[in-house]
Amino acid sequence: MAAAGRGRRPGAWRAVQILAAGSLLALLLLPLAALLASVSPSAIGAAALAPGMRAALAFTLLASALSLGAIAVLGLPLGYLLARRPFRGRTLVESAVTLPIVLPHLVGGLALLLLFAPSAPLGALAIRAGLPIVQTIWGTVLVMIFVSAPYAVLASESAFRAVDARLIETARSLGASPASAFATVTAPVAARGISAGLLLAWARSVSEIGGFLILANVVYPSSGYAGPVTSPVSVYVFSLYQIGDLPGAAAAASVLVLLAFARFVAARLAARRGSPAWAGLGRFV
Amino acid sequence: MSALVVRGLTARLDGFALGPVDLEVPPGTALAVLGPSGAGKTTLLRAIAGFVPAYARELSVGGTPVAALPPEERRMGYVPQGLALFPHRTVEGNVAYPLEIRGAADTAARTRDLLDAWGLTRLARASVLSISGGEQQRTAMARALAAGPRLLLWDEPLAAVDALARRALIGSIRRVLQREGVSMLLVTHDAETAFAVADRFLVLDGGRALPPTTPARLVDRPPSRFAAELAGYDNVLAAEDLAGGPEGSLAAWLLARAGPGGIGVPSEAMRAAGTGGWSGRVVGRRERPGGREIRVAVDGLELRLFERGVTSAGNGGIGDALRFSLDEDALRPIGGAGEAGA
Repeated sequence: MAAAGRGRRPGAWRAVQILAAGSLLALLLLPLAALLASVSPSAIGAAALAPGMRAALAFTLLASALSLGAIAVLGLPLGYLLARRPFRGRTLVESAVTLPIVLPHLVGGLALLLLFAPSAPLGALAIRAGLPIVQTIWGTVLVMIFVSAPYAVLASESAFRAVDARLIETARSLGASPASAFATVTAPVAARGISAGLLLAWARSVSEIGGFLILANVVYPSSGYAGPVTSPVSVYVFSLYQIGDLPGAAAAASVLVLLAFARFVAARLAARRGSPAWAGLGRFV
Repeated sequence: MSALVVRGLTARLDGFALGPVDLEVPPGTALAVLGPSGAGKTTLLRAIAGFVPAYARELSVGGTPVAALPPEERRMGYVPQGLALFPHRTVEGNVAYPLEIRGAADTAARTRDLLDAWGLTRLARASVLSISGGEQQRTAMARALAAGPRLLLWDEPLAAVDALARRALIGSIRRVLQREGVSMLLVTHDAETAFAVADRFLVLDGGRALPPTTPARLVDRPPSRFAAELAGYDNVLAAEDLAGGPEGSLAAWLLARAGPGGIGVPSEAMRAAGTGGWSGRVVGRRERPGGREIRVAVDGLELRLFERGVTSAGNGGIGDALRFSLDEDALRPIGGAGEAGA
C-alpha cells in the first residue's frame, strides 16, 4: 500500500535532519569546548581577576549600557514610525537602517573616524563640546550604536507591526487617549519582540571589534569615563593574542564564554518566571 | 432621546464610498446592520466609532453630538471583529481596562460585579488566550460595558461561537442590555443572530443603505434580494429573470406577483401534488434538517421545494417529472411600495 510505503520515509528524513543539525551543533560547540579545555580553571580565575581584564570588562559594560540607552531612546521611535506610518521614502529609510548590518565591520569605524577626527568639522565641534570621540568612551559608544542599532530598530519595527490595529482601536474606544493606548496596549504587546531586539543589539555591541580597532582600540579617560586607560574587552583579548600570549588570550576568552553562558541562564530563568517582557529573551542570549 | 442618531453619514475608504446612511437607535433597543461582504457594514461601524473619517449632518449619542470628538470621548462600547481582547492581560485585566483608563474610583467592585454578571468570576485570573470562544465573547461584552457606555457597537458578534453557545449567549446579552439600559448597533451577516438580538434592521448593499425596517416587515416585504435571502426565502428570483416568459408559464405568473426587485418564494410554499398545479422536472435532491429539499426546473427557472418530514426515498428521482402546487399567499414581492417605514 502507498501509505505503508511512505511510512518508511519519515525515518530517513528524520535521520537527514538529525545529521544536519548535529553537524552544525558540533561546529558551533566544539571550538568552545576546545577553548575551555585548553585552559585550567585556575588560569581562567586569574584571567578574570587580572586588573586589565576587570578594567576592560567594566568599561565595556558601561559603554554598552550607554549605547543601549541611546538606541532605546532614538531607535524604538524609528521602529514605531516604520511600522505604523506609511510615508514617502520609507523603503529608503529602511535600507539606510539595514546598511550597517551588511557593511564590513571595519568600514563603520573608518567612516566614523573620518567624520569625527579632530581635524574634521564635526570632530572639532565635539572636542569643543567636551565630548572628544577618538580613543574615548564616546567613540566606543558611537561604534556600538552604529553596528547594533539596526537590530533594535528592525526588531521593534516588526514587533510594533505585529500589534493588531484593532487592539489599539478598541483601547481608544474604551477611553484611552492615543498616548495611553500606546502605553497600555501597544508597548506591552510589543514588549517581547522589542526586548529581544534590544538584547540582540546589546550582544552585537559588546562583540564588536572592527570599528573599535580604528576608533577606540585604546581608551583614555575623558568626560563620561574616569577609569584607567583600557580597551573594549574584545580588543583586550585580541591584543593579548597579538603580542603572542595565546594562553592568556584563551583564558580571557574563556571568561567571556562563561559570562555569556551565565547571561543565557539568567535570561532563561527570567523567562521562566513568566514576565512576558522577558519571555522572548532566552532565545537570543 | 435616541441612543444614536445618524443623518446623512458618508465616508470614503480606499476607494469605497459609503452612504449616505440614516439610522436611529431608540434607547434600550438593538439595530442590526445587515449586508453581504463588502457592503460597508464594518466601515459604517468604524465611522460611527470615530476610526474612519466621515461626514455626517448629524451624529449624536444620547443627544450629544459626537462627530467632532475623538473615539475615546464618544462613550461607545466597541467590540470589533475578532473581539480584540488584550492578550497581555487576564480576563479580569481586560474587564477592568476601561475603568483603569478612566481612573474610576470603584474599579475593583465594578469589575467584580461584571465578572459575576457574565459568569467569569472563576476565570478572572486566566489568560484570555486560554479560554473558550464563548468565554472570550463574554469577556469582550463585560469589557465593553465596564465604563457604562450608552451604546454598544458590535461587529460580527458570535462569529466564532458554535450554535449551542450562541443561543445561550444571545439570551444573556438581551438580559444584560435590558438591565443596563444599553442600546446596541450590531453588524452581521448572520440572520439567526440578527433576528434573535435586533429589534430593527438596516440593510446595506454596495455602500448604499435601504430604509430601516423591522424583522416582521423584512419578512413580509423584503426591501432587496439580499434581504429576502436573509429573511429565509429559499427561492429569490430577480424580476429580470422572470421577464419574457410566455403567457401561462410559471415565470409570467410569478412576474405578475413580483415587486420591482423580484419575488421571494418560500420552499414550504411549494408542495408536491399528484395532479393540477405546475409541472417541472427534478434536477437535484438532498436531505435537510426536518425533511428533504428537491430542486425542480420549470420553464428555465430552478426552484427549491421543501418536503417536511419526508424521509423515505419517495417520489422525485432525478430526471423525473414532478407536479407541484404553489401557495400564492406565501409569495413575497421584493422591494417597491411599502419598503419605507418602521
